[in-house]
Amino acid sequence: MQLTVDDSVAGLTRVTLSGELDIAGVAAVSDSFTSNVVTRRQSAVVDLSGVTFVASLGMGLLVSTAKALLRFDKRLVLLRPQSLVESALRAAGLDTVLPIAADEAAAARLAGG
Amino acid sequence: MDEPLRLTLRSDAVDWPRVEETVVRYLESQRVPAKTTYGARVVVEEILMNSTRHGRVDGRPHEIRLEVRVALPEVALSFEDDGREFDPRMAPETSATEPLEARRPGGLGLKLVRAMANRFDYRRDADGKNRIEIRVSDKWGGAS
Repeated sequence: MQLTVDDSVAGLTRVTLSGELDIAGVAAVSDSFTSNVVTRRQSAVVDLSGVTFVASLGMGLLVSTAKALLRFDKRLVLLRPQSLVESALRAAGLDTVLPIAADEAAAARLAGG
Repeated sequence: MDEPLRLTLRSDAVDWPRVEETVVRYLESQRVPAKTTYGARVVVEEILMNSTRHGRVDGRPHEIRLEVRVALPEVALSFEDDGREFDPRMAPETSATEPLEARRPGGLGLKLVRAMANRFDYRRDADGKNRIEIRVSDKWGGAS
């Protein structure tokens, strides 16, 4: 599981996750993901296009981070999840609390950036 | 149909990457569709995690047996453990209408399992074992 952070857009944290967000994957990136996103106190777009698997632990990481950002009135937006990952996110009802964007422009708009 | 995959695990020493990789490779070898394999992997991760976290009796680790059988279009997943009695079908799940600020940790895993299962059975047998059988196909999450 890999994580990269891009600060090139002012006021927006762009995080790219790639690999499997399973139990081992969450353990590998959890601290880094939370600290990189929450400490910046700005809305974040999380590019999931390289993530091939996510279950409840990974979803919980996304929800808890989004919740922490909400305390600063900022949002977390999911970008371009693969088909099965998006189906799993929707099956868990995450699309009701975390916006899912199909492209960068929509993600920036949903993030309020 | 080939022989089922059978794994025996100790609740305090689950090698998660190995277990998940073994299950996925077995299903791929049986030509199970990717969507069914995804659902089966989610169920394995969630039920095993639940058992390892909540099944302990007096702090002692317990044994978990997993069997994976392929009978397309379904995959049947059987879990047996000698942990404390727990019917996962009765556990509360996160409400889909609950706003983000009210969300609490937990509840997502069993919500996912329920969403992915064609069938979800539990029984506590006279031998003191929990037995869960879950069937998954490619029907979860709408059209495949």
